[in-house]
Amino acid sequence: MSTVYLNSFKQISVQKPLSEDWINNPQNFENQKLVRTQDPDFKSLLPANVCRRNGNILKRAMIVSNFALKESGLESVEAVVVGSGLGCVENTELFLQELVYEGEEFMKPSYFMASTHNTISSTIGINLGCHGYNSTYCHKGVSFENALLDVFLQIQMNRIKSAFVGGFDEMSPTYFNILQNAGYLVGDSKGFAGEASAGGILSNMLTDNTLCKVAAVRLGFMLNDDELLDLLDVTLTDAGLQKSDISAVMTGINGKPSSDAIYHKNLELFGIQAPTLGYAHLFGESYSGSVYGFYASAVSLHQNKIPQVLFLDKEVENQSVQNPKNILIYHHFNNKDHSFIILQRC
Amino acid sequence: MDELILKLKREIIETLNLDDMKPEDIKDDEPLFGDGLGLDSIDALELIVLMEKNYGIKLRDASEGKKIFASVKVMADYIKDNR
Repeated sequence: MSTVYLNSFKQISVQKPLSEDWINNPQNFENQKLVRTQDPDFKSLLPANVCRRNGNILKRAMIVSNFALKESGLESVEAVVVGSGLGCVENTELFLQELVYEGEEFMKPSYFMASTHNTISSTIGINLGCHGYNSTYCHKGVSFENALLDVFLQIQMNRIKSAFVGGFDEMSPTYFNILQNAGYLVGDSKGFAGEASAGGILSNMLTDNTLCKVAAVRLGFMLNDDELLDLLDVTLTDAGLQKSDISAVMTGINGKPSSDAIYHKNLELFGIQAPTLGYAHLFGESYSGSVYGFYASAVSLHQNKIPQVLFLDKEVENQSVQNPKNILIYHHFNNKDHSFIILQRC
Repeated sequence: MDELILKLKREIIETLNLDDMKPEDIKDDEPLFGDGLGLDSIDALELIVLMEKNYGIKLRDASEGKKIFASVKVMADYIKDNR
């Protein structure tokens, strides 16, 4: 079986885009409920006809994949796999609104073409000149994890040597209002809704730019406590590790009391004596938001230091863990879908 | 006729999201595709919808579009003769 390396990873988010500025200068979104992406200057990064025709999520996807491929040192990839809970939801809304407005007589071709979930990975494929395997996982809060698992297994089994993998989601005001009317993102929730546009290159090649090794990826559905512990054990075994080898646990703790309570309960169940980290207070919550937990963990391993801003317990000073070796990423979605990922320093 | 050409230019800019352009940037006789405005086949689809939606003209033959979308002036002439 091949070892899987993460050769690069790039983000466009509510933080400064295409940058690790969030480590030292994180933007604070306290008391905000919806924060939209800070986009880079599209016109300076993409051809004019690409800019005018594509929705923002597609422009972000192209830029992220361009930068990720460039930084990876690879010339091309053999596959493109992304996770997206909502796909190109803004274009979908425009397309549907126009259909309604025009009495279902006319539709704008560009909106229609860019309104499917799979438009994101296909656009990235065209953009990177990758005509190989191309897939999109649309599994709400575990979309990115499913995409990652697919690529991880295919590289491990030598079916492919390299791939772009990412998580992409928009949070349109319309969709946000629907969520609020349905009772989500309101009440005592302290987190905020964000968007996701991040991805990177996984391959079986260790390069000068490699961020870390992806040592294990496991997903589970509807697990009781024993099954969840079994899944953790299998994940650790996959990576050849013990609980004591884990330097920190990255979680999706996001300020939503009902979801956070499950994290706290399960973290206690796991019995791992390591600091708890989070990313949602920096990047917001979206279906593919967990892509930032993966990204932040990878950056921490590459920089040999977990930045203070990722620690959730703000009362302890100077928490930065120097020389982290293994970061366990644990995520749950509605306490039904559970995922474990282990990233390892190279 | 001039009014129709100006209206068409505004509609083309809006439909194709040519944000940086103004009607006066598009010359009446300038080719819309290729070397001129640089539009492509997806833009042609948008223009076909525009013709039907705004002027009630249905283009059934794809090869017709190549001639009709030669320039804004040719488009305007075609609309005038066919609506």
